[in-house]
Amino acid sequence: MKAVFHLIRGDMRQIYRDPMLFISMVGPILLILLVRFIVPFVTAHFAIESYNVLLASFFILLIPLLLGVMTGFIMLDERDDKMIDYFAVTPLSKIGYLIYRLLFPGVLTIFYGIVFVEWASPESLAALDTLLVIVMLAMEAPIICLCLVALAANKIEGLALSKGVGLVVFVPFIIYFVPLPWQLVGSILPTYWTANLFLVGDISFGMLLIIGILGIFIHILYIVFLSKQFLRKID
Amino acid sequence: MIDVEKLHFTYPGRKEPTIKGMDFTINEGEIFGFLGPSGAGKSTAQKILIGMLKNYQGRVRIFDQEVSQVKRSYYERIGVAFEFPNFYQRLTAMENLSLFRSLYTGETVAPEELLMEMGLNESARMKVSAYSKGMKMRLNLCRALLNKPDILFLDEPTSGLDPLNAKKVKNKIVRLKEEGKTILITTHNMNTADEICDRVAFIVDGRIQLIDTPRNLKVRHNEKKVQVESREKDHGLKINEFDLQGIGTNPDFLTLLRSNKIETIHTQEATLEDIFINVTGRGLN
Amino acid sequence: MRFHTAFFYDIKIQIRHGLYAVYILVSLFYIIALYQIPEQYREMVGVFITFSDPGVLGFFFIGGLVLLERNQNILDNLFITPYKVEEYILSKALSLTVLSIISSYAIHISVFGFSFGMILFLIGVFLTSMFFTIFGLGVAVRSHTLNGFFLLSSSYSLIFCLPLLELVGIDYSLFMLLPTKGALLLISTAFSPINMLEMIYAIGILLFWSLVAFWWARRSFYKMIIFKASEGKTL
Repeated sequence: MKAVFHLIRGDMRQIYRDPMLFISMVGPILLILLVRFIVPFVTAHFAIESYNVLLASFFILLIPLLLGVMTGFIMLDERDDKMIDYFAVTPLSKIGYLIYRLLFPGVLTIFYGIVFVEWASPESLAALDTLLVIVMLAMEAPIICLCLVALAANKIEGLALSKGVGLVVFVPFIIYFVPLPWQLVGSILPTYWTANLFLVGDISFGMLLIIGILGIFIHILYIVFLSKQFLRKID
Repeated sequence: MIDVEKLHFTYPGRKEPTIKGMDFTINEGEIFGFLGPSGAGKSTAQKILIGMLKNYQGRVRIFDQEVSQVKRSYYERIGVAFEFPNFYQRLTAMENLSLFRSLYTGETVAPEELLMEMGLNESARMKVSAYSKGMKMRLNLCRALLNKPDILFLDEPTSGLDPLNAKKVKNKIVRLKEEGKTILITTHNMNTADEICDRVAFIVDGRIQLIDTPRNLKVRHNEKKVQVESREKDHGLKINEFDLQGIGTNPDFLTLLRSNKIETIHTQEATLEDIFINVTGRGLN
Repeated sequence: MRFHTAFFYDIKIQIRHGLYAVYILVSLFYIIALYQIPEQYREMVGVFITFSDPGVLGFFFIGGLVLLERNQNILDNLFITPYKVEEYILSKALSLTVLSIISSYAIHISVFGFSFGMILFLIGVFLTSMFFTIFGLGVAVRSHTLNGFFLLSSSYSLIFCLPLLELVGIDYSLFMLLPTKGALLLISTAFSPINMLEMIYAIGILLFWSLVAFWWARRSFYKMIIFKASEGKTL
């Protein structure tokens, strides 16, 4: 517990010193404001309001991407500077460190995700849809972060990966433009399921449940696999 | 070769100076040791000599030029092995050495030769990320030797090495000296210093406390006593000390010699470490 | 000899860290994406993409490259050899520019085919990448973490992005003073030819800014790395 407290205190100091963390809090807010006020204005201007939902499903994915990448960069720096070795020999332990780090973008994503869906999104979602979207979204930030730190050996590779991983936010466009069954290729990506909830339109309760369960299952699979990979890497 | 007078240095933004007045000369073909605890200013002094820190006060002359004024061609003539062996992790040992070798315009040594000497020829095509600490330390020495430097700066050259490889490195350093190279070693390992240094300087708190040869130091600080361990029937191991002065006529010593119970006899030589603590009033770690 | 080996190894290191692999993926993505865009917008989006991704990729990656070399003390080892700071900066910038050019070229000919303005287009990408990479290097030596680098660099570069507004019809003559204006002009020659005066202006402004960036990066490098102004500060 005390170890966690020290980590939080260290983070507070870092937020003060490293304004990027501050930006990671402001960034999603700007994004939400953009979707609420600017996107409807622009689509109305070009008479493409029908794309509003597509754009919403795209922009909401930017929240976990931004927070995940940012946390990934912190962890890459910490690993390159051998800080993780240091945490590993404190009562916090390596797993404790990992959970603590991943909670940060996860929790923030839940908060911003709710604001986004309830206030900014042009299309309102039903209660169950919202719940499923938020749960998956909350797992996506850690997944993106884990992708960087589990697959990259250092910060340069992390940067390169962040370029590649960032492309997953374009999955909504696949769902929108690529017909079934071809679009199912995208279903191995977590973001496919989140975007699907926005884009499938009216479906039966049973279908919704299937999408929800499959989606959450895939998200968990990614987290477990990548976490293992990461822990093996810092052994 | 290296001439330092009234050297003072303070890191920008710090009040307390790190180097508070150092004077010393290192001759050509000499192995000179900087000894002292960490934080004493050894590494800072070394960085000044290398030309990495330029805003010092005092005189530092190497190859008859002031170090703060040297051009990049200065680096054609010196070799440096920092304490922490850092390399491009994604390149092999061979690639790393070739890269660094290409940065010199003067005559260089083939990396294969150096790797062979340090026993790394078999792992030359391995990525450095797969190297152990000891292998990286030896590779670090190879890198410092690429440009056939006249002066070598080695920071803790034997740290992290097993005794066999430490021996290899020490032998190489002595061979380099025999070729006429001037070598400055920074270390807190007194044994290494004792074995290979011609002269050592004790550094504490940014100052040099003393400069002398390890032998002179030991002779001066020896207690001149003999310690004898003998096996007694009922008392187990027994330790006796005798003054070296007049030992040939000391009856107790002679009796003991004839008793056939002796297990070991040693003169009580002070180690460099004892002397360091004695002189500076500080431990090394 | 020294320079071209250093340059060659810089590229090798970039390949080993997956930069080229990731840019195959990213370029492919842009090629597919550009084909999906309605023809009347395709060229405009093409210019925007070329500028904002392959064009400035060096800006993105230089932070990681320099921070890693610095925190692992490789810089110390480089600068106890005769290697010059100026050579270091140029080698880094040129090597990343190679990737910029390959990627832009591949995207361009895949989507738009060969065209007459190709040479000027590539000169545009070349100068854009050189300017932004050198500029990024100056920022990188002032940063201690990846997030710090991205905050600093995005706030510095905000002003350079202003001319992008012309793509949506907002234009001020003051933008003429910024290198981005010249970059966009040259990159768009692939679609609309420019006159001699415009060409001289565009190349001139980019060269001018590149020289300014070089002077500033060199000064920053001496201050932060060679003279160790940051010595003793925490990461």
